[in-house]
Amino acid sequence: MRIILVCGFLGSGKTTMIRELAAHMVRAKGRRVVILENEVGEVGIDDLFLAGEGFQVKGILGGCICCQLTGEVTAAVNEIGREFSPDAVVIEATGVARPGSILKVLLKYGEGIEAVTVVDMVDAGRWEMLSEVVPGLILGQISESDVVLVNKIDECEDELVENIRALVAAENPAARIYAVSAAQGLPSAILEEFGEGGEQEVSCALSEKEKSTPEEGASCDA
Amino acid sequence: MTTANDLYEERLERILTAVRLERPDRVPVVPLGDSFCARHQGVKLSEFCTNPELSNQVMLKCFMELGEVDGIQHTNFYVHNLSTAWLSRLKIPGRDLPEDELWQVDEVELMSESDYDAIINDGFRPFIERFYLERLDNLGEKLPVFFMSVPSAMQAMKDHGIVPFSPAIVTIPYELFCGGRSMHQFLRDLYRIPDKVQAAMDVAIRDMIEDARMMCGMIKPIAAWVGGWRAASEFISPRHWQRFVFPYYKQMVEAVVEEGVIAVLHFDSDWTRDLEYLRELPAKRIVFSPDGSTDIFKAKQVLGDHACIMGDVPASLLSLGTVEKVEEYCKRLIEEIGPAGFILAQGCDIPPNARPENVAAMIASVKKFGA
Ligand SMILES: Nc1nc2c(ncn2[C@@H]2O[C@H](COP(=O)(O)OP(=O)(O)OP(=O)(O)O)[C@@H](O)[C@H]2O)c(=O)[nH]1
Ligand SMILES: [Mg+2]
Repeated sequence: MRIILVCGFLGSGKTTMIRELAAHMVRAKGRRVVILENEVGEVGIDDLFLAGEGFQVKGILGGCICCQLTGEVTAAVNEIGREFSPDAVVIEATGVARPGSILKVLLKYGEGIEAVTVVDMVDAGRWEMLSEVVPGLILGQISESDVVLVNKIDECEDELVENIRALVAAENPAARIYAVSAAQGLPSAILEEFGEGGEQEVSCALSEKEKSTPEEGASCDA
Repeated sequence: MTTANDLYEERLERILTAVRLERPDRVPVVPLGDSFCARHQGVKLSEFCTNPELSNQVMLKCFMELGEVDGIQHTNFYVHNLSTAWLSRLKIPGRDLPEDELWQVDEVELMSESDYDAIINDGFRPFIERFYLERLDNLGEKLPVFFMSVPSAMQAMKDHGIVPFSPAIVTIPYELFCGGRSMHQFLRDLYRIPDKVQAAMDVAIRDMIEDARMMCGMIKPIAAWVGGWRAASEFISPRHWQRFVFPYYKQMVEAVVEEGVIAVLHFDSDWTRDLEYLRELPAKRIVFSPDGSTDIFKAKQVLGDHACIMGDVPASLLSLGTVEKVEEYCKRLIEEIGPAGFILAQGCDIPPNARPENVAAMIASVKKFGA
């Protein structure tokens, strides 16, 4: 089972991206995909929409504090694995979470996970504001991701997009970076990257992560 | 024969010794649980969260069944209190959600930019009274039920020899405004109109401190919960944190301590970057209580001679881990963060899906490793 963990600040385009990606994976590639929403509040509506499109959906309700969500996400992933044995679970992280904190719990307690890819949605339209006020969160999300989508480029000048790209690359040299307008469709290169699965490659990414992810809590594994 | 009162005095002394950074006869354990206790006792969350008296009985029964605790952080739970901390409406089980679903803070933009002006011009108290009435469905009318229930809830714990540790809850304007404006709008405010936000915070904190003093005088708690998660160092730039967060915590903590009450810094998310600043808070009168995200071992290094540390068995370890792993981590905490100046507890809150045997193992570990 492959995990695609999608992070990014509130309103950066996570749900928009996930819908397109999941639609592609299901329709074009025939994969069995479960989407796990992790937002407080809006879950119900997304559930209906996605269920209507023919995906299997499982919503998480409850938990208003990040420290609880990490455990709940993993518990839900394990349940999904047992119940549906899908090819992939796409998780939408809450906008104020750093993927690393979800990932370390997921890798420690998750069952049947063969590969993990972390995608970060960067909101180009609000880059200046967010990188000034909450740089720790924004840069943390970038540095803990495998793929960074600089989103909403329809809202900004090319020069700003190039600046953001460069800053993202500096923060995370290993990341694959794309500039997109998710609302207007994702480029096929991205859809292919995820649609194919690429088990070999992502399995490696997983073991790399296990090595580099610090232990839970300051260190749970005393 | 040891009476409940003897037991209470013994446990209180154990906790106070830890707060003074001395070494008690053994490390105290003082957990916090709400939805977990309801699940454990088979009480529907819809009933638990709207009935403060019931919540007190449920917490007491739950923790007494799971072992011997020295204290319990909160004496009861009342879902509407969440609205006072984040100026948000709630989704409540049995009303907006299925009966046994966990409550949620429903964050939307309830507070407008012009509310900052109203606070600056007319004061915080008139603003908040109107806000409770008009935008939070007359919240002011719902709160007395909780406040009236606290003294008897504290007494019920004492009657069982258990210390009701931190039943008073206070926070800073950042948490209120951020919830009321919604996080996205609030961050924009900090970027676009920082002076106005600060001016409103400066007005708000005066009334919030006055309320906190009044509450301390009325309830006479041993400690007060002072905290939140939105203002954590992991999110906010140092410049913003030093301007909009720390000065307000400092004022609030100093006021609480002046009232003779210990301030429990219930700081969720990662505050590691700014631990050094916490040394400016009153020594040996505060308890730093991280949730598993802050590096608690670093906290001991930086704050060890200044603040008692309480925590931080992570939520995920309690829900997904094994008894052996819980014991192993508690042992490490007791030995490395304790045995002086340390109170064992979960990080943040015991999650609703925690395994009871894991919580029991946490509680028992102080007797096993903590003497
Ligand atoms: N201009 C523009 N708007 C976009 C783009 N992608 C998404 N949006 C809009 O941004 C808003 C938020 O998109 P979502 O997909 O809901 O974002 P999210 O990250 O899931 O939001 P939360 O779950 O609330 O954190 C919506 O109004 C989208 O239509 C884009 O490429 N360009
Ligand atoms: Mg979304």
